[in-house]
Amino acid sequence: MNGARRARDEKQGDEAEHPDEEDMIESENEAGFGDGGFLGRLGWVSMRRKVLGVGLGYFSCVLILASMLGPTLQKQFLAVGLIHLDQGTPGKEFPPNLSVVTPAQEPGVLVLPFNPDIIMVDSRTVPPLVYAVENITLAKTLSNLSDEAMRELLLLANMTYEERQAYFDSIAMEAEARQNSSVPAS
Amino acid sequence: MKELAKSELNLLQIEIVEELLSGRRTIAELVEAIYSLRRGEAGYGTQYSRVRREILRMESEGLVVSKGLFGRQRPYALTQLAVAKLTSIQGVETGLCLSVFPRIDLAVYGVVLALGAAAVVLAGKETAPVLSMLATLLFVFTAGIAVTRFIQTLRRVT
Repeated sequence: MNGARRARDEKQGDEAEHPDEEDMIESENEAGFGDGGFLGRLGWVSMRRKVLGVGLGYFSCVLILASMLGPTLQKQFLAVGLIHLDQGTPGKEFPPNLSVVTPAQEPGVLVLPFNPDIIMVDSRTVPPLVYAVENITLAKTLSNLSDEAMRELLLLANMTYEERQAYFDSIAMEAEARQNSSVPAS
Repeated sequence: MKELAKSELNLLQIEIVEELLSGRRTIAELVEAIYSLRRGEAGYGTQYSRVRREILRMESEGLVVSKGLFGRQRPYALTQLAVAKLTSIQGVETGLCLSVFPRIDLAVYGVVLALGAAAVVLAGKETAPVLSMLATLLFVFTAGIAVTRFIQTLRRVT
C-alpha cells in the first residue's frame, strides 16, 4: 500500500518536474507513426482488438446477407436435386424434354412430369413442399390448391406417360397459337 | 537508429523498438534495459508507468503486441506492421504492407457487400434467375477472398 502510494507520489512529482516533456511526447504522437486511419482514432485499445472488432462487425453483415440468400438458393437448387435423385432410381427415366407446368391460377406451384409419376412442387413456402402423385389430396389441403388446379393434377395423375406428353404438347401449342394471334399482323 | 530518430517515433519509442528488435520483453525488462532501474529502486515506478503508457500507445497503433493473455508481466513483441514500417524508413521495399487495412482490401470488402446486396435484391425478382445465380456465386467467391485478406490483416497486427 505504502509502496504504491510512494510510486504514485513519485510519478506526480516527476510529472510536475517535467511537464514539457510529457506535452512533447503527446504532440509527437499526434502525428502518429502507426496507422493514422480511422482505427487510430479509437483510443488506446490495442490494434488487435480494433481489427477483431471491425472484422466481427463486417463478417456479421456478410453472414446476414448470406442467410437472406439461403432460402432462395434452397428453392433454386431443389428442382435440380430432385431431378438428380430421380435419375438414380431404377426403372425411372428422366424425360428428354422435361415440361414444367404451372397449374392454372396457382403461381408458384410447379408440376414436374416424371415417368411414370408426376411431382408437384409448391415453391410458395420455405422450404418448398414437394408431393408425389400419391399425395395429391394432401397437396390440396396443405397447399390450398383451387378446385381447378386439383382437377388438372388428378387428370395428369391418371394419364400414362405418353398421354401426359401429348397433353403438355397440346397445352404448348395452344399457348403458341394464343401468342401468335395476339401479335398484330405486320 | 539515426534514421529512426528522423521518423515520427519519440525517443522512448525508439529505445523500446531497439530493445524489442532483440526479442520479446516485459515492461519490467524494458525499464531495466532502458533506465537501468530495478524493482524497488527510486524512480522505478515513474519510469515503469511511462514505459507502460508508451507500450499501450504503440499497441493501439499496431506496432507492438502482447504475447501473453494473462498476468501483469506479459512479454511484448514487434508486429509485422512495425517491421514493415521500420524497414520502409530506410527506403527498403520488402513487399510487406505498410497499412493495417490497405486500399485494395477495403475495395474487396466493399465489393463483397455490394454483390451480397445485389444478390439479395435479384433473388426477390423471379425475372432474372441467371443474374441472381451469377451474383450469388460471385458473392460467395469474393467473400472467400475477403476472409483470406482479413486473416492476413490480423496476422499483420498480432
